[in-house]
Amino acid sequence: MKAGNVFKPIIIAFASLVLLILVSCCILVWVVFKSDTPTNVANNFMKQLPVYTNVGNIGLSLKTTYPFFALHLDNVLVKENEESSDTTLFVRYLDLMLDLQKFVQTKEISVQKLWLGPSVCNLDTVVLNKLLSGDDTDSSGFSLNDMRADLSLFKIESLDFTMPVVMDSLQEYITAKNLSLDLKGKLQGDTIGAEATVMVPYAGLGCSNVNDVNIEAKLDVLNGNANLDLCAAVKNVIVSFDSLSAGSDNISVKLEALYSLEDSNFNGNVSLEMKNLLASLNNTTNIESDCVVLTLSDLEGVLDDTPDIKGSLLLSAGNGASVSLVDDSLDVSAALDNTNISLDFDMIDGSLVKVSPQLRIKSISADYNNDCYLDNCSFGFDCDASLDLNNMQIIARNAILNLNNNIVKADVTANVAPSLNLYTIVELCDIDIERVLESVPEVIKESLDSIDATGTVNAKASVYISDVNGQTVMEPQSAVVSLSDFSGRYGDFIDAYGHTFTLNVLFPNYLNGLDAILIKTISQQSTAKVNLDGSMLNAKIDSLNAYFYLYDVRNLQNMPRFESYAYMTNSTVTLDTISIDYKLSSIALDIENPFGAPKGYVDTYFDGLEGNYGRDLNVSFDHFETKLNFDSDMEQEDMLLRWKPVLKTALLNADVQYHAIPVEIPQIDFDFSLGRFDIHSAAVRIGNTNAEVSGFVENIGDFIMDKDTLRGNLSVTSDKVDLSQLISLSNYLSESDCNADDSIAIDSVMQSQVSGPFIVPTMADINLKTVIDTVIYNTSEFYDLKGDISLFNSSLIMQEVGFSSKAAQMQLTAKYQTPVDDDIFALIDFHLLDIDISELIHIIPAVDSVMPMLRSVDGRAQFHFDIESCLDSTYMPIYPTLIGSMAIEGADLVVMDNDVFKTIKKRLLMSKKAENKIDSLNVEAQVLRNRVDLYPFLIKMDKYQAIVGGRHHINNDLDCRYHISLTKSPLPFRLGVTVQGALDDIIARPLKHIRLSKCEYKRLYVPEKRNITDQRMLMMKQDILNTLRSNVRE
Amino acid sequence: MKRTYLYLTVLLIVASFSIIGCEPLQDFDQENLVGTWYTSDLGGMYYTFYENGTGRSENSAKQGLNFTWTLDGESLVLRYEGKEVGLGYDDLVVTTLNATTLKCYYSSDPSDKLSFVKQ
Repeated sequence: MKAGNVFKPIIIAFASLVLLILVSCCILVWVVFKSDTPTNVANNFMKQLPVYTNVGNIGLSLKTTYPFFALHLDNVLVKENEESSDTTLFVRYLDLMLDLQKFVQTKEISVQKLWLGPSVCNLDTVVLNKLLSGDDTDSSGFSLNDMRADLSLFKIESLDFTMPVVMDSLQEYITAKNLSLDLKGKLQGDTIGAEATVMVPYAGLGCSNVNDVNIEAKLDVLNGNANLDLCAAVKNVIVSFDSLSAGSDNISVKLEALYSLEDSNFNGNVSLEMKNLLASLNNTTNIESDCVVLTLSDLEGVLDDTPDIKGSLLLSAGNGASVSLVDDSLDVSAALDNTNISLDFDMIDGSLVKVSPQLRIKSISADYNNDCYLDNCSFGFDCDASLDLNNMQIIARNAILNLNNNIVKADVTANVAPSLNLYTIVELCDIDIERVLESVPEVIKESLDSIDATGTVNAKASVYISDVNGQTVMEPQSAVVSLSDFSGRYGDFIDAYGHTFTLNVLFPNYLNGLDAILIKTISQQSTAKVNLDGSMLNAKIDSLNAYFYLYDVRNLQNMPRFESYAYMTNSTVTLDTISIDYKLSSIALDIENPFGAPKGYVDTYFDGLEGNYGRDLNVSFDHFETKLNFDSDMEQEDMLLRWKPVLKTALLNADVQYHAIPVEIPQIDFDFSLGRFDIHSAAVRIGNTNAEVSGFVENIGDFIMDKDTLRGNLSVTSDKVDLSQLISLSNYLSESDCNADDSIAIDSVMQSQVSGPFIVPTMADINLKTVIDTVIYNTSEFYDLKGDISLFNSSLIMQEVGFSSKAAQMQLTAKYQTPVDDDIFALIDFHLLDIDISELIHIIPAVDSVMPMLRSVDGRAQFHFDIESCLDSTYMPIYPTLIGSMAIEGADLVVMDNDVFKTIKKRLLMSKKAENKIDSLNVEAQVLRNRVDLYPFLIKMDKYQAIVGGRHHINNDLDCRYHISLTKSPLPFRLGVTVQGALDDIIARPLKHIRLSKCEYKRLYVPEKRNITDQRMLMMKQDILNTLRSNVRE
Repeated sequence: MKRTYLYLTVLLIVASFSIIGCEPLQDFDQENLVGTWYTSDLGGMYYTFYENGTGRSENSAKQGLNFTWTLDGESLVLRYEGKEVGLGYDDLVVTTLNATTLKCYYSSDPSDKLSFVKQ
């Protein structure tokens, strides 16, 4: 029930009482001139009232009190009706004294005294209705304009008052005990002067009650202006409505108001002071303060149909103010010392309200679940706002929130009806990160112990909130975060500095017809140190511009598309002994459906990059560029099929210095897709070696899916290959790697054993054409090295690779095939034509171990060698399949060491004309399973002729048996020497294994004496030689 | 003159040994050779001789080489050819060949003997 409705019945009741008094006065006048008794007259009159009224005794006096007329009533009783047992009003006695003379002379009602004795007033609903229904008729025709009245004293001595009210469907009672009233005033037409004092020791409404209500009011109405001064004080206030309960020891109110009755202008001041305020809402939100002062000052305006009101509101809470919110899951408390809220407001035409609130809290502390989150922080809030009540629009500008001098600004524009539309801009201004970290609650500080940060943050964000189909949707519009002179450290792991850093988020940003989020990052002079498992990564970037787009984010059916572009200049990255510098780089990304089946492109671009790995490796290039498109299919297991990459790469002028061996890459330019891999140009120089690769490989995707054959045609051309340098580089690198970490080497060996042999794909047809002008190996130079390396039908074939040199012409065919009958198959067919024998040993040192005598021989020869075998998974030959042969053909060979030859010549009794020349040399050997057979061959020199042959076993002891038949010599008989035994033992103790024997090959080279066995052996030699020769390409 | 006698004496001795050392060549039945033979050489090898003069040597994992064979008297020659380029010979002298046993040695080294058992 409104206050007006509460006091209306009271006013009506007292108005009735005043009316009763006035009626009594009239009766008095009437009695003076009439002879009826006053009581009967009064009772007859009161029968006309809507409620039952009875007066005990009425006493009139004029004679003894002249010129005053005195009236005394006692036991005045008002009930709903006569039968009702409930008393509505009972007045023990009433004394009235009027200045009759003054009334007769001036028509002014002058009440010298109106005194009500102890009274009881119980207004129930029925009586109230009756009084209210009769209100209009009773008040009609009653006007104060022409009245002149003087009330010297109106006193209610003691009134107990009860009245029912309905609050939230419940009937409650307003009660007042021992209410006393002192009122005096004067009414002259439209001029009123009145003073009143009301004291109520106890008053209550439902469960709410107050003590010691003391009201002093003064009303002056003069010349159409009403001036009201009111002071009220209440003690022990206890208020309880629904979920609200509040209490205050003392509440005092002061009101000063001036109101123009003509033009409805008003001005005034109101102040409210509450001592020891304690309030609770839902038993969860509690407010407590020693003293709360609410002041409405400088109020002025017009109270008409379109009221204009302006003024200032000041709410201050002294020390000890606190707010707490406690429920089952939440425990938040805030101490608000010296809180001041000031609010300037201005309502225009009753629809537009302008307010400028200011909130100041000297010290605020807040706990959450007993952990301190704010400790003695200062807090301030300022805002200029306007509320358009017609359009239900709220506009707030320059809202400033200051927490410990960290400033947050906000602008808000909101349409509340018919649907919610709110646009707000929030701004963080010069936030000192160090101060924020210092203000971080203790409970969080523990987890931030290892974080140190300094710098200043500025941020600005705009958000749009709307009501869509009854649901509140929040859409961020834009956000800008700027860091300046930022320095941050996280323990020993990260240490970063940025001179400036700006993060800009824009949404929506309509690009390509889609609404997108744009995140723009700008960083200047940034450094970072990151500890990676004990290794420090240092990064320095002069400038970084990065753009991130998220497209179509509001389409919930599809994953958003992601696009990014980053541009960096003058950057340095170091990690331990690795350092990378580059002048310019950019990375561009465009990814659709990033969290499902991504599709898009990645472009990278580097200019002027230089990298170092300790002192051993230095890499630099002028330009590197890649463009990668991909379209993923996550159901595919193969990496290439899963991502379907289309890659374009270009590299220009790269230099690599590795262990003082320079590697230059003038250009690499290739395009890759699952359909075709085109190497337009790939050039490299390693030391003295250069090479250029070009060609194509196609059907890569179909090949992976076993749908088609992998086809390709590649070519390698080179001016020069320094094989010795490459081998020494390889050996050096191997040693370096071994020394660096033996365990890694062991691991890699283990891994290679586990991974199994290289399997040549079945469906492949790739040809590599090789053209090398010069190959340098040791001191030898080989020219015009040409040949094809092909990958075909499970085979890797080096087909008839040939070259020429000063020492020889070479032909090589090699093959590696998998799998054939579940085994790996390999073969080598190698020919050195017209080779210098010393070069042969130089090129193939293994020949020296088979025929040591060749070391002392010079001349030209033909060397043929072929071998084939199945291999096991460790590339070792399977001996039952090992077969091969070798042949050396020479003529007019010269024994090089002349001094040795002279000694031999002397000891072997050679003729003086003997030349150090071997007429011919035809050596054939075969490798069959685990045996190496050296077919007997003839050596002739001067008067000597010897035939040498033998066998070597490939077993643990390397057992061998060689025989030398001296078939011609100055001796009268033929001599044979046999060497037999384990190879190591022969070397250790030769005499034990050398014995004279019969001459086994005495007839072999004597045609007329050959037997069938000899003929067969020569046939075998010739068959082997012919077969080897037949493999020589013309 | 004495030297001449000495030469003649040595020559007579050598000639007489030569006459004594010449043994007549044996003939072996080729039909006995046809079939599969096992030898413990190389950890166990199987040699299969077909009637048409071809054959194959292989281990228990069927890894091996094909060959052609000729048996001429006591001379058994196996000519191996690899899949593509390899060529080699086993030149053997047979000492025993019957339905169950084949014994031979390499002509280049009589001490290097082989012994087979018919499978």
